[in-house]
Order: sequence, then structure tokens, then C-alpha cells
Amino acid sequence: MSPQTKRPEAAMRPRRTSRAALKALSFRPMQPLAKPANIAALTPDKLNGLSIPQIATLPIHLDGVRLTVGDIFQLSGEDTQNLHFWDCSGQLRHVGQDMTQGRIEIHGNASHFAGQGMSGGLLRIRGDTGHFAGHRMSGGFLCIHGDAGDWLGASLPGELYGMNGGIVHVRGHAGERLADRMRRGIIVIDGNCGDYPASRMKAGTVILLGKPGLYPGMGMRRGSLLIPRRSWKQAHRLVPSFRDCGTLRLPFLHMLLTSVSNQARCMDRELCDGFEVFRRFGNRFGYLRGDLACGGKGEILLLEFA
Amino acid sequence: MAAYTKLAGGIVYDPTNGINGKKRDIYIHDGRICKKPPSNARISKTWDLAGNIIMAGAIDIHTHIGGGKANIARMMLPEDHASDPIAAGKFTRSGCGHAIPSTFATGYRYAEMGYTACFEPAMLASNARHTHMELADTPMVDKGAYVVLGNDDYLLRMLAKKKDPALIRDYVAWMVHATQALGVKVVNPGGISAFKFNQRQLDLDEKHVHYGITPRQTLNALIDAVEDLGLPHPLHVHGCNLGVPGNVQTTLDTLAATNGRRMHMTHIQFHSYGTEGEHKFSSGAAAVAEFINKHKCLSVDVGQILFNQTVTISGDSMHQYAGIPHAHPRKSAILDIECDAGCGVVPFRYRNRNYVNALQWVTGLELFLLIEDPWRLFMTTDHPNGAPFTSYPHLIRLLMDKDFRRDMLATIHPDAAGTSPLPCIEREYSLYEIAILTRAAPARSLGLGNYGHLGPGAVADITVYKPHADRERMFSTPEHVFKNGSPIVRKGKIIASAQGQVHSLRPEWDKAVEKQLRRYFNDYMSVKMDNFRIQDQEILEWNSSGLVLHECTSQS
Repeated sequence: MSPQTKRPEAAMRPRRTSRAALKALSFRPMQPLAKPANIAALTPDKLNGLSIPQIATLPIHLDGVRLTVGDIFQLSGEDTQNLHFWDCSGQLRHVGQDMTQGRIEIHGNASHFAGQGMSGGLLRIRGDTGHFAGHRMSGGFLCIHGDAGDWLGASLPGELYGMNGGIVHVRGHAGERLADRMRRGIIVIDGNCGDYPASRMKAGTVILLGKPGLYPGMGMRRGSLLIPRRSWKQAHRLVPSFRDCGTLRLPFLHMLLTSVSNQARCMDRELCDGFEVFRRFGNRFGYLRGDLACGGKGEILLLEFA
Repeated sequence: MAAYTKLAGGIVYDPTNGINGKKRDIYIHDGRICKKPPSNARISKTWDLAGNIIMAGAIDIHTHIGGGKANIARMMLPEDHASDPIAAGKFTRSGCGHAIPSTFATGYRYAEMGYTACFEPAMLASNARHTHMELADTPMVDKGAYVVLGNDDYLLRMLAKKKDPALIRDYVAWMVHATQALGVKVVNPGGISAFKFNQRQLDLDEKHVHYGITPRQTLNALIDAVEDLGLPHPLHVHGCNLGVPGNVQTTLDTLAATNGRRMHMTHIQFHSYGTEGEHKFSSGAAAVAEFINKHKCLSVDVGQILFNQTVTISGDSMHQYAGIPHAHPRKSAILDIECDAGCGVVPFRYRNRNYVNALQWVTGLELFLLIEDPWRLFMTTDHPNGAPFTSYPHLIRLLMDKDFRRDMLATIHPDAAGTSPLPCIEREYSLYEIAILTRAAPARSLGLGNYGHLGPGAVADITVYKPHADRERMFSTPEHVFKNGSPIVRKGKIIASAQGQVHSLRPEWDKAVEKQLRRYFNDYMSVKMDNFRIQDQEILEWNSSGLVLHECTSQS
């Protein structure tokens, strides 16, 4: 396959010209953060059109106590569509909540609910995240360079569905209950994941390049969980309500790759790095179908090298 | 000698003592209201309340703020919590939730509206310990709970075997003791149990397929037991056929079944629907109101609905199950609890442009305006089933302001507004009547002698409002609220934390009933009888403010 033409790339990044001269807006805590900070208010959407002094007066909650942005962070730069957070000691919660555009980068770890409700733009975390990353996400691109916590792309207890669109790429490992009740979208994990991946999944695609934990796909209604056959041999416990249905030939993986890497490229060339590994897989899949206790329209596809 | 506090120059509305808008000074001594002290007494603090309106602290007779179902609703609705967070304050803890707030938020919001006592109407016996612990975590307000009987296996067995009414009476008394209850409630008598035997409806004279008894028999037995024991609050009845079109006939039959005995029919709005008109759904409020006006032994609370997102939580699994297709968001839970009764949680959004919802709204207001005696009518929204309790000020404005009522009527589904006599009803509630509805009448009905009024000896739970033409604004932000004589709220904001007391009863009963009961517990229940019973010490451990015991007027 050779889908990498120049055209979509050029068409999908129109903004760079006007903003090339602006310097990204950086947030640095004045003192090391010792308590969790809710930075749901700091997204490109909410800061759009505000000046630096205006941003410094915005309210922000530090461990439930109401302060202003200026009390906590030192600000530099001016581009409100490109936010960078430095040295935040993994205390930032609700990073990029409900963002629809622009870009946020966390240089370090983030805490829980990263990318909650985001529907567009790019959120890149150059470290680990806490639990419930990608919660309520319905679009955009969430890239986690380190490990993700539990419940990535999952629903909160009591909610009907988890992640509802967009792309999540984790370069490290993911925790337990990955993609629980996920409904739409794509999650790519380069590493391993904890127990119960794709549990109660409603639809969507999870691609796991490392080893799954126990009971993958438990309670899965629809959707796809892709795992290399090589690591599948090391995965022991499949719920008994999954059925081995032999092998299949499906060309869709390359279409998926094209789609993901095109979207990644139009945001940032660096984002594509992780997806090259797909090229090594062929069209043949081992096909496990289940969970037959819940309709049995889900599938675990075992990837084989070409 | 402890000093006195004086509330000077306020206009007092105190229906229990017949004071209707008179300028009076009120003196507080040692947490209680007292007569004018001798001239040499020291008055340590004088509040100048000239021009302000003084009422006793409000009392909510029927609000689902505890018990297992509230927690299930909280677990089921993370979006309700995320949409309404409350940050911690200097005196308050953080919390969240609009339709079903956390326990702390519940207490704070009630106090901020001038409420000083709230009563949980549906405590299942096997959930009683949980309920009391949850109520202990609800600060600011006094509380109590009514134990739900009438669907429990033990009582139904007794009724099926036609046991002596004295035995049933002793069992009811034992349950009131064991669960530290302030009253007895029956929910869909026998119907929740029938649901578990695959019956999807049970009318007043329909037989339970397993026990062979009818709701009428259950109701009669419990009314007699409550009367016999002399419990201050009459049997609190959630009738058959909740929410079913045409249930007004069942409701009238249920009311007639009392035959002159006392009964409280709760959230009667949900039980007052006819089947007339092109939608085959109409208001039966006029017939119900007429019946209640004629029969002095009956009292009701309305269970008004108001248009908003909320969640319905009820022990009535049978009718909650029927409501599942209307759930918004589309999720629900129907459970059995230890064969005691059931539990159904269905989130719901009442819409003003929906004919059925608009008609429910109209029916509730008709009941408020057509029932003449405010002493037998209590203001509730059946929180959170009709609307969250935070809508009370809005409801008060609807009752007190006929122009506002007409404006709101113009916004709802035209068919519901068109068939209603509501536009022609000129009645407007006065402040005195509102004070009856929300203070004096509930206190009298529950037998809370020293609460709900401002006479000497009363507990100094006092709410002070600044008069405002917009009654919603006036009742949502009281100027001052005093709990046991100390100020807890100023201009609708908490200024000090307080912990309310637990109200309970001690009816007399024959110990012999324990022998049978112990055997039943050993054979069928998940806990032993002695562990089932909640000791006073436990209540005091959870709730440091203590236990208030009220008198029963036993006739035996």
C-alpha cells in the first residue's frame, strides 16, 4: 500500500501560516505543585482571544481551593492555541477538558481525566497519565508518551458508554479496564495492558501491540480488540464465552493505518512515529468471537506478521 | 444564669399559636423559645429584625434523602454530580449533585432554604441501619424516618394466616423500635411483593397470587395497628397504581377504605389521574380534593412535579419497572432488598411541552388549590421524584402568585392547560397558609410537640425572611436561620455548621412477639434478630446531637 500522498497533509493544516510567528503560551508553576490542580479552564477554546493579564485572573481550583491562574503559574508566550505546561509534578487533572481545537502539551506526567470530553485538537502528554484518560472523548487526538492509568477511554461507573470517538495513542503500557464500555474511536497501545481490556465494549477499535492482562473482551457486545498472535500465546485467560472461529483475511488493517496516520500527520509529523509497526502485519487474522453471553458480536483479532 | 437572645421587631407568622402577621419580640433561652424574661435578665444579643418575617424553621414531611435507593441513584448518575459540583467552604464540606445531592450538600441546601427538619419516608427495615448512618451524615437539619411495612414476608404471612390483629400490632411496634422509626409507611400494599410473583399490577381488591391477600386487607391491618399503638403520625400510604391513567378511582376507594380512621396519603398527585379526553389521560384532582375536603381524618401531601431533569427513586418496583421505557438518560435499576420490599431507580426529565408531564404539573397545582384545609395538606415534591427539593421556593411562588401561575401555564402543552380549571382558580396562598403548609401542619401531623411553632417552650428553630414581592427569591434566601437558638445561615449562606437530632418513637408492645420473630429471623433472614435491632447507643454514636423520643398515645 502507498497511501501517503502529499495532498491530505497539505489540505488539513491551514492554520500554521498565520500563527507561525506567535510563541507558544507556556505555564510554569512558581512553586512545585504539591496538590492536584484542576486545569479544566485552561484550553485553547476557553483562552481564545484573551490577553495574558486576563488569563492570569481566571479562576482555578487547587485541591478544591479557588485561586487564580496567576497565583499558581508563571506565564510566557502569547499563542493561546498552543499551550505548554512545564514541571507540573503530575498534579494536573482534567487536562484539555472539552477542548475542540488547538494543541496542549504536558511536559511531564498528568493526573486523572486527561482529555476528558475532548472533541478536537491535539493533546500530547510527554509522560504518564492517571486514571480515566480519554473519558467522554469524542474526537481529536490524545497522545500519551508514557503509561496510561486504569480505565483509559472507559466510562465512569454508572455511565452508559465510555469513549465516543477520536484517537488515543499510548506509547507505554495501559492499566486495567482499558476501553470499558467504549463506543466509538480508536485506541492504540504500544505496550501491554492490565486485566479486563475491552470489557463491556460497545463498539470501536482497540489495537494492543503488547500483552493483554486477564479476561480480554469480557462482556464485549461489539467492537474489535486487535492483539498480535505472538503475545496472545502468553495471554492465558479468555472467558469461556469466546469462540475460536479460525482465520480470516481482511484488508481493513491497512485502511485503518492509513486513516490514523493521515490524521496524525496533519497534526504533527512526530505523531506518526508509532504507527510504522503496522506495516509488518499482513492481512491474515486469527478470529475469536464473543462475548457470546452478551450477543457475541465482538471480536478479538490476532494479528500475524506478513 | 445563661443570657437571653432577643429577636426584636419581626413580623411573626405562627399558625400553631394563631399569630398571623403580628409584630412580636421573640426571646431565646438555652436553645428554646421562652416568655418575655424579667426586666433584670441579661440580654446578651439583640437581633434587629424590624420589617422581617419570622416563621418557625420549615419541616419537610416526605423527602427521600437516605436509604439504599438514594445511594443507588448517586452511583447511577455520575453526570448529575459532575454537572453540579460544590466546593468546600469555611464551614462546609464539598459535595455535588442536582437531582440527588450528596448527604452534606442535602443538609446545607435545606438549611440555606430555611428548613430545619426533614423526614425520610421510605426506610426499609433491612436497610434501617444504613439509612440512619446516612441521615447522621446529613448535617444542619433534624431528621427521622418512617419504616416501610406491608410488603415484608413476615407480615404478609401473618395476614394470609389471618393472625390476631394484636400480634400484627405488636410486630409493627417491634419494627418501629428495631428501626428507630418515627412512623409507619406502606408502599403499594402487597404490590411490590406481587411484582416478584410476576404480577404487573395489583388493584385495591386484587389478590396476591401467592399469599392470597388484597391490598385492602394489608391497608386495614396496618391502619388498625398504627391507630392501636397511638403513633402520632397516621399510616403514611403510597397507594396502588401509582402513575397509572385512571388511578383516581383506586385512590378514592383507598381513601374511602379508611372508614373514619386516620390516614396520610402521600404524593397524591401521582394517584389522581383520569382517562378522559383525546389523550385518554386527564386530571382527577377535583374528585380527590372534594373527597378530602369532606373527610377530616385524611391528610395528604402533594408530590408536585416541576419541569427539570431529576431521578425517580421509589420502593414501588412494580411501577418503576413500568416507567423504564421513559427513562432519561436511558438507564435504570430495579432491585429486591432482602424480601422486605423493592427499589426502583429511573432517571427522568419532566418537560413542559410534553402533554403527560404538563398534565401532572397541572394536577398537582389543582390539588394544592382545591384542597381547602391547609392543616391537612403538606408541601412536597416527593424529592427527588417530582423535582429536587431546591425547587420549593419556585413552588411557593406558584401558590402565592396567580399571575405568575398564569404565565407559567401559558408555557406548557396547550392541551393540558386547556382542559384545566386552573386558569379560573383565583386562590392565592397567604404567608400564614404557607407557614401552615411548611411548618405547623407537618409538625402537628408528626406529633413533634416542640417543633414547628414559636410559642414558649418550642425549640428555637427559626427562619427569618426579608419580604420581597418575588416570593421565589424571598423563600430561597432567608436572612437568618437559627437552629437550637444559634445562627446557622445568613442571607442564604451557611455561617456555622450544626448537627440535627434524630426523632423516634417508643410505642408499647408485648414481648411475646419476639419468640416467633426470633425463629423467623433464624430461619429466613440474613442477620440474627438481636443484630437487626438498632440500639440507641448506635444512633448516638453516629449522630452526636442525640435522639428525641416522642410520645405515643396508646389506647390499650
